[in-house]
Amino acid sequence: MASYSGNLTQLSDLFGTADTISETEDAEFLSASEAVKKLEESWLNEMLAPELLSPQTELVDCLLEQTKNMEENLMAISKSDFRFALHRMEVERIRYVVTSYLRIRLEKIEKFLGYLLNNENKRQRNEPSLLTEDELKFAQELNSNTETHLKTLGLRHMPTNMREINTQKFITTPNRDSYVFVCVKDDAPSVLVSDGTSEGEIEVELLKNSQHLLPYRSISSLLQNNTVNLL
Amino acid sequence: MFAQKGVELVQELERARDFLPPFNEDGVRQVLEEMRALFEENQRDASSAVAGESEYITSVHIRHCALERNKRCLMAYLYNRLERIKEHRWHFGSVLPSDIKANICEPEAQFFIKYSKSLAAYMKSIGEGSYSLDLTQNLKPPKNLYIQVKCTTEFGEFETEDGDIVVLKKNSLHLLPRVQCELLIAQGILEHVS
Amino acid sequence: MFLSDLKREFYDVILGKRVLIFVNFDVDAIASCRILQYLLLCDSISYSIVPVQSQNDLISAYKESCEQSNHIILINCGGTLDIVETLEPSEEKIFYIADSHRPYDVCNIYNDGQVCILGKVNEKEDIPTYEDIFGNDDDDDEDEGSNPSDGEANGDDDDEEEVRESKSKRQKLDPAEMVMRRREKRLWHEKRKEILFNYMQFSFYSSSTALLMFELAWKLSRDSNDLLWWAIIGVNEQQLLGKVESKTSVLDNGKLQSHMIRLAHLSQHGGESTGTKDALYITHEKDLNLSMYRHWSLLESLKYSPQTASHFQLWTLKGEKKLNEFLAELGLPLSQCRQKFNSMDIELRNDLRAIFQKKVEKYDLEDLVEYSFNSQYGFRPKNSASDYVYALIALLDSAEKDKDPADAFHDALECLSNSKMDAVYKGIELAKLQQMAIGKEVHTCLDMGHVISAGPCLYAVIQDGTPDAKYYGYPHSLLMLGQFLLKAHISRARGRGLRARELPLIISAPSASRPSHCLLLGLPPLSLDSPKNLIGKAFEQAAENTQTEITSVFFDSSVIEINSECRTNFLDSLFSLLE
Repeated sequence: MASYSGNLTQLSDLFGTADTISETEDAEFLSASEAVKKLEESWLNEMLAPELLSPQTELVDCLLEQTKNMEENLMAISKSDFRFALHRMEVERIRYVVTSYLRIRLEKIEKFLGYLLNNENKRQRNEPSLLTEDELKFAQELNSNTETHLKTLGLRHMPTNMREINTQKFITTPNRDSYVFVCVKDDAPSVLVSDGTSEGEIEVELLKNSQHLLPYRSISSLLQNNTVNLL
Repeated sequence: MFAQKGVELVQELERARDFLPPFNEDGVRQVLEEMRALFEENQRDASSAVAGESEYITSVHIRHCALERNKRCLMAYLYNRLERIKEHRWHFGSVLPSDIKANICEPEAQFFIKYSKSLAAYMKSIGEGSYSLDLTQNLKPPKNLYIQVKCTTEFGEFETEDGDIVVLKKNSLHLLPRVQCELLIAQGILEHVS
Repeated sequence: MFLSDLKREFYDVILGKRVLIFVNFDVDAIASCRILQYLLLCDSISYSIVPVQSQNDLISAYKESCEQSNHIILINCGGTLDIVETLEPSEEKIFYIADSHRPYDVCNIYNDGQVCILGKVNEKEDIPTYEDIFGNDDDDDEDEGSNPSDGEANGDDDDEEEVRESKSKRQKLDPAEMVMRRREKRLWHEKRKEILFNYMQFSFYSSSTALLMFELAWKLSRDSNDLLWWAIIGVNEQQLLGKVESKTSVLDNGKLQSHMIRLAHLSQHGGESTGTKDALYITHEKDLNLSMYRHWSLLESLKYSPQTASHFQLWTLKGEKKLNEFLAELGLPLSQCRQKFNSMDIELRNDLRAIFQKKVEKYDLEDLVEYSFNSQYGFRPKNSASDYVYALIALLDSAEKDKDPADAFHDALECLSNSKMDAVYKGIELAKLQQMAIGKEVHTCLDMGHVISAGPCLYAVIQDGTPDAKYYGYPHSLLMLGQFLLKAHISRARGRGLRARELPLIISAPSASRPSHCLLLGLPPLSLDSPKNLIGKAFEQAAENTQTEITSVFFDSSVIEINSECRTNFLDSLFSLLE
């Protein structure tokens, strides 16, 4: 993957639009190549994490704008030029990463539907949401559709006292104890991990560039502030 | 034995893991019938239990468990079918092939349409409406811009995005841009040859 | 018109455009198609390939697909037809013909821009000059290339033109000159007919198209061992089926050898450390000229190879005894020869060529040990080019009534993919069955005396309903059968029968693709030692005379398909023509 992302970013720099910049939440400015790299990291994290992570909407939007600009520029070059093929490939690759990222998120939303909707209802106003507005709308629609369907086909015909289903019993929650490989980007405070017995705990030091296999629960907060990456 | 039919429904789905069998309307009806019969019997016994005869309490309890089991089987059957239908949307696109359409009942078809609609709305909303991204495409990382495909059935004329017309005759080979072929490959009209 | 600089005039023109490719059903065409596919893929030129078997196929396929693109490439088909007249294309379409069939139709040669023939002009083909066909000092109105397909002047039109012209010039000329002019024109037309007749009467093949495509790849610096191997297969098919003279094949082999050496050098001294043993290695060495002997037992291979079978007359008991003698003298135990080649003793296997070499002179079998190209993928077993050719022919001819011919085409094309040996082995198994069927049929024909001398030629008719007829009901397999039969028949001839060496052979077999029809194939006499074949023209003429409908006009005019019922009439008229 490393060489793959390397090629991708080099080509972005060759092309004219390398100087367009994007904003993140903290008003940092990223160049196009850095944006692509960041998207790839988020994509991998999303793919390997057992639960839904926070959405990178700005990144996605910005990269989609990028690809649109690139495509418009490509119209100007003739088809047989070597550069045309190269840049088209790059556009396709970026589009693939974005599509895959969004697809994985949708999959997780469909899987953990009840759990996520519960969390949404419970969260406070100022806490960031794990779902974008559109994802939330999608999830709510899916939920109501499923319920109506089950009601029409089955529950409606059942005896009166059985017409409700307790959806709370049937939701799946993500398994936060599954193990994941992590690579540490910056020095981080060490985490405590249970060593297999019920009481004992081991302290694992997290030095920069080290790699570990840890339960997801212990590093989830670190993942959120970007100090570790999943492999 | 109680709830036999319910278990049969679940088994039917379990056996047919790769495809969607026709909607077993009969089976569902029978399960609901059984539930109604059990419920009526229970009502009678429950009222008599309330009236004082305590020997009916166990039978009420058993019937109640059977009712719960029936309900659970039926819910599982319906929900599982829904899952498979959702998968079909991702695999086949928003139009279902006729052999699958024959296997789903009317409410399921409605669900499919609604699901497609909300998926389409979501896809349109990303990218701030500048253009919509089709999430069902691009399922594998792109290796080449163009791929070689062989046409397996007589399809006729097909127009690519650039306006070129390609005549898809049976057993003709073509070299086409990958993005144009993906939908046809998913539908089985074109076959990728290396 | 001819395009000699393929890169600039052909390849650069199609860059960035879509092309439509029509490919004939023969091994050379498939090899060229494969090479062209590779080149087009490298440059992302979008293409569509449609296989065609006969002229009718080409016309209907063209009608269906012509909207797709304005650049149409014809591989091993269409060179001998007048494209403009047959297909009636619109103005923007440009045709590129890469065809090894000869003679080229004169309208294709002198067409200005719409029909381009890839390759150089070959003086030896005696192409008539433009003036002889179209130009004439006086007939400026009629013949000035406005409609070259009209070149075949009709007698009546001519006279009308003459009369009109003479009317307009009547004031200026006096009657004596007019008569002179008319006479000159008549003489010119007669001479023109004669030239055209001489030019078109012999149909033959020229250098392989696959080699042409390979040289294009070389000029584009995209050649590699894989492409060279495909070119070798194309060239080898022509030699195996006796389509070209030995001079041409020697020249072609020389070219292939030099490419092979050059590529071998490049890979050795090249920058990359291609220590990958999984690449394709090509060698040119002396090898036994027995069909597929590496995949068969030695005895069977000797039995079913045309030369050895005819030489020893292996359909007789005496012949088999002679063969056993031969093997005994070579020192090869019979038990070893009966086993599959790979199970033979390893010392015998390695020395086989040397063992045969010692005795070939005594037995007058010089062409048993010849140079051939062999290839090896990594550590897999070696295969010779002729193995591939047999396999491809068997696969192409494997279409039956429930299998589309185009499927057979794709099976054959798959063989030429890199390192897909399964398809090749399947083809070789089919080829073995085919060779066995052909051998048995020859045996039967000779035993039953099916080869009859009908005055000007020999002919053999294989009746409908013969078992195994499906193995040779196709043009190429019928060609192999015909050649085997002719050789075997001649080898049997003594005394008066020696005249048979100078007679052509007409062979007919039930067509495997269409029941109740039969294929007719004509072979030139052995004594001429040249593959130039005038049977094609004779077939055409006989068909006209007897009003028989030729149901399939193949691109090789020496094979046709007609209804079995009309066969006897047709043959009668053909014999009377050939006298």
